[in-house]
Amino acid sequence: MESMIPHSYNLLMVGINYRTAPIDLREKLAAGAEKTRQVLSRLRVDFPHGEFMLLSTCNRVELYSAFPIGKDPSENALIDQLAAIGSVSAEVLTGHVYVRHSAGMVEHLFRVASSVDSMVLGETQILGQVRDAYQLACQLDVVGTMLHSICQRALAAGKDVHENTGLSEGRTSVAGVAVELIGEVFDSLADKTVLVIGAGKMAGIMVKHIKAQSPRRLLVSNRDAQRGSVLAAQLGAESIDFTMLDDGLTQADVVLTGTSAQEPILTSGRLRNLFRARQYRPLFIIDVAVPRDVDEDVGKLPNTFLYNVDDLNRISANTRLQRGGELEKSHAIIQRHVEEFNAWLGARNSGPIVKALYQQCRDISDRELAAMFAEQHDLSDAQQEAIKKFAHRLVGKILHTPVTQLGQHSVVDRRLQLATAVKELFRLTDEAAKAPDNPEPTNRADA
Amino acid sequence: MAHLRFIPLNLPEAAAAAIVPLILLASFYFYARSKLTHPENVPADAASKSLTATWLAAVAMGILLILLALRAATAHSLVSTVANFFDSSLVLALLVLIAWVYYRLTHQLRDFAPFLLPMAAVLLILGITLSFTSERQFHDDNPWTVVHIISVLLGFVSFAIGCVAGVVYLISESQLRRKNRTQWTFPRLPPLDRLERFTRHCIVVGFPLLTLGAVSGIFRAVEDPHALGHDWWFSPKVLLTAVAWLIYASLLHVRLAPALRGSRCAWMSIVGFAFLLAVLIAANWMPHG
Repeated sequence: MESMIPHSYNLLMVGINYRTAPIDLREKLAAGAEKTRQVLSRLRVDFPHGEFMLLSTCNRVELYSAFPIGKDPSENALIDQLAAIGSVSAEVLTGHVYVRHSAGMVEHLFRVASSVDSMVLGETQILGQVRDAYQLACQLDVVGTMLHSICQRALAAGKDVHENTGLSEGRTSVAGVAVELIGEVFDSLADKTVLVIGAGKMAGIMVKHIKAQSPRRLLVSNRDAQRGSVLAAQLGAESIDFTMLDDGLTQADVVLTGTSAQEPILTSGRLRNLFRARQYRPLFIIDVAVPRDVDEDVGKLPNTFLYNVDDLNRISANTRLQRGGELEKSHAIIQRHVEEFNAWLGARNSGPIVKALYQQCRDISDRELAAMFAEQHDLSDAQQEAIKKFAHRLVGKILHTPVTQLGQHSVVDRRLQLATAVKELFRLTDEAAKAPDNPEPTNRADA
Repeated sequence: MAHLRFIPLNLPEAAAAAIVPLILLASFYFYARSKLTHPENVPADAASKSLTATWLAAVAMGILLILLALRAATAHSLVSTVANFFDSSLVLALLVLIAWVYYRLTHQLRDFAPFLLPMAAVLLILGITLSFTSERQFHDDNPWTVVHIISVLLGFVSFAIGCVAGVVYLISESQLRRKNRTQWTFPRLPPLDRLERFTRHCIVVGFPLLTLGAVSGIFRAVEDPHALGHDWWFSPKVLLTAVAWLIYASLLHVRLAPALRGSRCAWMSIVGFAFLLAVLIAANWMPHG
């Protein structure tokens, strides 16, 4: 069926993301700018007819491609290429990799660029990452008419969603919620000190988000001093001795705790004693430890705000609910862009067929007119002209609806079926129905 | 000693003045409806509600301006325009509304600005109510009176804005402490430390004005001992002013009293302003000048 569709291009994407693959596999396949260059250069050599884009972020690695029909590689060939990025065998990717074809690939990229597919819904970073991936592919000259068009429209769709919905007006991850809450207390962290107690995994994730707010100082304190100083070195933070924790607490404006201690290490008594030394400055405490590191009472102290993981999760869930409406709005916008693209693609694909169809009908009409005029000698020139006009108008009127359907049917796959049907019903020659811009490598940067 | 004639309130003026606080409260209602979120109730057509709010407040401001212009046209001088409770409450409300326009246009405090609208409404309601219970009028032949009225008015506006900042601080803090956002919530209020800084700014501006107002008031009382009676320094007006002055003075010294940070600062800006309102009411009930 696929080969019968008069589709001048085959679109194919293979990829893994945070939903389908564990972090260690994603890390193996993750490609920085230099690696991406190498991969794309190799692809250009291996598949001279293909167009490529490699999108690699910490949450996804996706290889987009477009091939002229007949020159397209198999899914497996592309999956092999994806595996080769991480120097792993294709079997490793089994069960993690997903494949998107034609309209499915277009919609997927539009969704990705709009951050609807992101782990942190509504984040704006991904739009820049798609743009970078596209520009890199452009630099290496592996993008042609088809991917140019898809990428540019994906970027437009992403921008549209960010600008016209409330989706990106906040982040919904637990860490994002924590950062938002800190923002409700502190104007900026630029003159604030953040203290991290413990070197656990959850605290590590959270600290990256907080560090992105560029606090003035970042302090790390851990019971195991060695692990503490390793984490401090990783984060570019200052390490302070666990026995000197009170000093750290005095300096800190934001405290992030995630130790494996069985007993609370921060009690309201301990903090109350520090009030004077802290000059009663506001204190924001995030407790990601289980069991808790901070006494519940601490949250009742004046000018002290305490949030634990449950609080953050609850707020995060609420926010997600609140943004439900925005998500629907985003989907509608993406759908509109997909349809616009499909219309463009349909018009592009059906153009030659429509032309051949009109040509054939006009030829028939001209032939029949000539035969009729040869038999009917008593027609005046004016009468002949009128009959000719009538015949042409009739052809136009009869073909109008089918041609419109061919180019603008709302379901893209149905449109392709219709095109095939027309081709077969009218016996349009392949020559006539061929796409005008048969893509050659020289044709690549023409969009 | 030429006593100013009180410009009597006529019914259309009183009615127009009474409508303004209602419009202001309606405006704040629309603003709140456009902002307040609830998990099951995301504000629909928020933009149009917010626009309605802005229009209503602008209309209220227009009515106030026209009313003040009419009142000023019949008065002897600009000072005498504000030398009674009715007119001075119009001026106070107008100044608060000008602050609303200003902060609405800033980036830092735009989400704080709408909370000034109910404050303007409260000031108007108080002024109108008081003007019905008394027709007291200042003498404007004493230069200290002019200084007194102007500095008190400006100081009052400054503290009123500080009081609103304190209220918004407490709203934001209680939202933070509530920890669940399943109840109605104002999203994106200014951060607490910005609100606190702003409250202190208001007090830093208002404090010298209040001091000047008090001092000029004392000079006036000394120059004209009969105006306030002989025991004027024991009058509720003076005592309440002294309390408010002390509250604000303590807030100015964070370094000396660091415990007065955060919600305590917010509470004190509110309590201080409550005392000032009490001064206004007490002044209205005092027997003379």
